[in-house]
Amino acid sequence: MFFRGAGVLDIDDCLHRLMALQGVHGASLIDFPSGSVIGAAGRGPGSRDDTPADAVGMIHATMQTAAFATVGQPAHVEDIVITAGNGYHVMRLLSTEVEARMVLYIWLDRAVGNLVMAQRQLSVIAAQFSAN
Amino acid sequence: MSKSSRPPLLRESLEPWCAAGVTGALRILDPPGGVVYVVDGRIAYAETPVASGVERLLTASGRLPAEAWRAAVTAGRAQHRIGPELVDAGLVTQVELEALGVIALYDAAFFLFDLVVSAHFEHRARHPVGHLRTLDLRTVCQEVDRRKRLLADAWPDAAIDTAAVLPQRRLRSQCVALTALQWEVVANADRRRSPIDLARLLGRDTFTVMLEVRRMARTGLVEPGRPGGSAAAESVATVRARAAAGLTTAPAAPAAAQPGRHAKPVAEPAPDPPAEPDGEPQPHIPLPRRAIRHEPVRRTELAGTPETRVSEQILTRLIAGLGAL
Repeated sequence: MFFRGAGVLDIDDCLHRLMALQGVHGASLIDFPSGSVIGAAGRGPGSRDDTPADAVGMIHATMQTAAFATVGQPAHVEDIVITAGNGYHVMRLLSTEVEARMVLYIWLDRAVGNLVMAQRQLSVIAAQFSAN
Repeated sequence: MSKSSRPPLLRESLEPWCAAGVTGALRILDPPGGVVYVVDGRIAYAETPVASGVERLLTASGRLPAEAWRAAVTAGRAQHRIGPELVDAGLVTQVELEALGVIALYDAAFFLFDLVVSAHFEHRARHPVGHLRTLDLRTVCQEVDRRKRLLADAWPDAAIDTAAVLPQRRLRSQCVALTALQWEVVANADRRRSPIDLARLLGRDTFTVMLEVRRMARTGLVEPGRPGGSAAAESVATVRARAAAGLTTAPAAPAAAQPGRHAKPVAEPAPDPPAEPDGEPQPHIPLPRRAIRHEPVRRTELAGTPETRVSEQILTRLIAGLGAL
């Protein structure tokens, strides 16, 4: 069901697909230079019961440093995983022309979530952002 | 303090229309001009000449050729479906268009929401681009406040936004790291263009360019030069000067500002006029009430009845308060 190709997806569809993965606490689409939350589902930035400033701040700080710290041929980072006490924080960078500054972010439970599955699903969703 | 002593800000003028759940456009008659589109009581789009709209974000950035945009306009303008035309033609994706719509909306709201301007509401007016993502008025207001804080934290003097960007000719440090957008700014700064002009040239949202320039000014990579001579920069500067002069008595960031009871929409065929606490004497605890009102519309909320959510909110506030003690 995750790889259904047809149909026009909107942002909410994308976020709900990410939320459908086991162990995902929250998913959001963030424009990181401005820190604006474009869309959010579940817990995390943009929702009411958490502190969005923290998560967006974390993403911003990560992007500022990690994007320059690649080994070998630089300039292409696909995703960044932060392993924290309260779960995995995965940031998938979108690489289309305009959205090069946007990040898909999910917060994944460490006990229940499957990190590799989440990364794969993030890639599938990220592909929705680029017109072929 | 009496609310009638001060003319309403634009965000306050929007409040009754959103509460009534109407669809239409609030057209701003004073400079800088602009329109805020409301669909079923939610903010759907906003535009103003000083911010970057969807068109500029798509064409000036090089994402779409200008002819492609014009073709979609001719095909879809009358039916308010320029956006769907672009998506159907495979030129942009739906997600991309929605995201750009939100970025453009926030960009315009940043300039418009705290202005005191005369405005006129047109019922049922829709934006020709068509249906994009809609947002709570409260969400947009929070984002505008967040952006103002972010700018002030990066560099306190707003004059830098309309002054020419002067990259330093030499740096004292050994090497620097720039974000992609900072690079674009530096590469295109001709020592005359202001951040506002650069945003137009690059097809980026104005706020983010202003923010990146302020961040670079803070680290000493660029410095503000003479005030920019372009029409756009001047327009922003005059509007700001006017706002500063007119609002000297009001606090600069009315984050907790309550909608006055002025200007109720003359009950149009609103689906259900919000017959909620109307005779409420002290509208000073807005959070729980608003949360309840917007609850059914939120698709992103997962679970929790309004009651549990409100008590959660109150609990977290209590805890925060206790922590502060």
